[in-house]
Amino acid sequence: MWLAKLRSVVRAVLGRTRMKRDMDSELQFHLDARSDDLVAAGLDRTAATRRARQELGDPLRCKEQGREARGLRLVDQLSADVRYGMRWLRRSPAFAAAAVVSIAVGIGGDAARVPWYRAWRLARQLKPGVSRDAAEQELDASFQRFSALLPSDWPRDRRLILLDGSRGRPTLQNRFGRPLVVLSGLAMAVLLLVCLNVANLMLARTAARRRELYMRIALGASRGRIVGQLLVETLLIAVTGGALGLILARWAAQGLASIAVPAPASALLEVTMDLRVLAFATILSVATGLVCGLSPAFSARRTNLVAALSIEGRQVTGGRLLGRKLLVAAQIALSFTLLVGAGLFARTLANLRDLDFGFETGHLLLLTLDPTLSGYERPQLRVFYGEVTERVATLPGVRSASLAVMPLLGRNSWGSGLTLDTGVRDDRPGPERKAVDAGYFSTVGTPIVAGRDFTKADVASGRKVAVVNEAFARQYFGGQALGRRIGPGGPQGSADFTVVGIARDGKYAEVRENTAPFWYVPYEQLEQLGQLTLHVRTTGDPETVAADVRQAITAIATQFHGRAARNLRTKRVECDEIWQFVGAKRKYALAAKRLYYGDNLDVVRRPRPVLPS
Amino acid sequence: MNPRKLRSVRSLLQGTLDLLILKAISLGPLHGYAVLLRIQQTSQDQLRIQQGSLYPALYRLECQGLIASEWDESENPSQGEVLPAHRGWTSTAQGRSELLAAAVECDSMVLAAAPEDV
Repeated sequence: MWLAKLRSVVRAVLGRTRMKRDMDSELQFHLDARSDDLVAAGLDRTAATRRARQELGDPLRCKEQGREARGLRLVDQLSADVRYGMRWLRRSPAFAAAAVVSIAVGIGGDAARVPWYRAWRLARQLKPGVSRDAAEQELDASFQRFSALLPSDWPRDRRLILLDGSRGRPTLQNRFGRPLVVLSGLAMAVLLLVCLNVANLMLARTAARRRELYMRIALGASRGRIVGQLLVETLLIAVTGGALGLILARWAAQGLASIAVPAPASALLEVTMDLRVLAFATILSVATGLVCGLSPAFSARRTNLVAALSIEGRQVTGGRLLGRKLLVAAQIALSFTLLVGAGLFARTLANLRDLDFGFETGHLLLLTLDPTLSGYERPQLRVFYGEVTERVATLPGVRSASLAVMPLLGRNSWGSGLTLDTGVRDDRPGPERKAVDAGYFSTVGTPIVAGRDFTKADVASGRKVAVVNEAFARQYFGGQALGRRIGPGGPQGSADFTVVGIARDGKYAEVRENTAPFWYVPYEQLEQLGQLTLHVRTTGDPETVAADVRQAITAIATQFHGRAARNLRTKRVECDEIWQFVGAKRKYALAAKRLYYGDNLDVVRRPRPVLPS
Repeated sequence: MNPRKLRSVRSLLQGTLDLLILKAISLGPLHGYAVLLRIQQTSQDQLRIQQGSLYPALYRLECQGLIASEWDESENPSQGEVLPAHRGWTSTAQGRSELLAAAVECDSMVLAAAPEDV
């Protein structure tokens, strides 16, 4: 039964013209046959034709009922609503554009938050409602199950404990927590503003259209039809805005991720669309539109239509006016807040752009390699790393290449305390250090201000050497650091590294850090070798060089190990570009638009001339 | 003006009309106008169908899969002239079984409503 119905509707929708022709000719046949009969009964042809028409009734109505009988009513109404809505939106492009852009910006802004949202989830994986103890128990249970599978010479008494991440450990929570809160707040403010904006637009629009709606109700349109029509119009706007928002979101999320999380850390945070976030933003915008767009349809029941039609436009009820005033006030307040925030943000960015990084930004490519994960042994590693550096340095488009234990601006930390030749020992994490290759300083562009760079001669068997930065030299040796001896802290720490050079101060782990003592050691003199980052200075676009570099490394790895290297991550660092923040500009434009449109669309509500009643 | 009451009356009428149409075409294909005539004829002019409501009813029945139609360019035997193409309606198997079920129901209702001595 329903199958036949469906078939009928589908056929009716697809074969519109054919069905219309069939209906026409069937009715025509009926009229002909009936008038023939009437003529046979004694009427003349003209009278018979007229009589036949009278008996059949209005052919239009007949046809309409016919269409209705075929289940086409919904389709008809919907298509009429869509056509009407399109026409209406075309007639008021200012409104349509404002609403569509609002929704698009709201959705785009929200999606831009996604990488931060991810980071937050990483940092705080305890579900609300799960106690720390319960989580610890569960984790420890799975850890014990895991260690049962390990060889018998593994220690059995290990236990897994959970530490409160919000205290102590300077990991993801601290790193991403604050900017996340700020960004989330911003995105929420934007979303709220979008809702207010859509609400205001809809109210302004429906106020202007109220007469039209009342007219339709007076002409017999059911509330369902009115609601349906407004629904269709709102959805039209929402769908267009949503589509635009998706495009905007892609663009904004990528821009924001590379800006807010500079350097390789953002490689950890994949920028993808989170459908749930998008859906949330969309639903919120649409719901706002619906509530505001539909209010006149519901209030129409209480309205005396005649009075409404004759005096509407002059009369504004108090409650509604107050509501609108509040709405506008909230909009302006939020806009100003965002405007000030965006101004400060832009100022910060301008400051950051003038920042001295202590190395040459731009045309720098970073690749982090961890061949130990593919099963390389220690002696093999040295040869492998040497080969990689050599081969990459000769690639076209590459000026120089150098290895270091941690990537620049990677938010890594290697502080191991400090021992000085004066006998001073400090076991606190202390000054950060980094293990680098010979040629590192020239590759990243950090000048050596005194003494010398590391050389190929600084090998494991040679004298242990170190390079310190200016701040280090100033703080511990009053600037005269060359020839002094330093070393890591702790019980085994001894000052057996001789300072051979002083490098200029700079930014090491992240952009916002203050200048602090820092020292370098040659990685050749490290006992342990693991993950290293290849710093490549390119002459052209790092992105195009990256592919060649990857290919070269894969080739070497295959040759060494018989299979391709896995765990190869690349991230380009273009610090010059990082700070050109699109978001700030966008928020400026947004706030300006809001201030402009929010009030401009109101002017449609002007008094009408008095109708004779 | 309670719309609920109105609707029930209309649905009752429509139900009857559907049944009458099914009955009329159960003997063979008929075009719309002939359905009208057949109903008047079999009810000895007791039932007068609004001509305007016949076609929506036909389309509705077709939509429900109870009747089917085909186009036919046949000669009208009584007048010997070629008529314009017209649509002949026939009941489907489903329509026939619906009609049968409705007829049985109708009979039992008439029996139930009839006075004892009939």
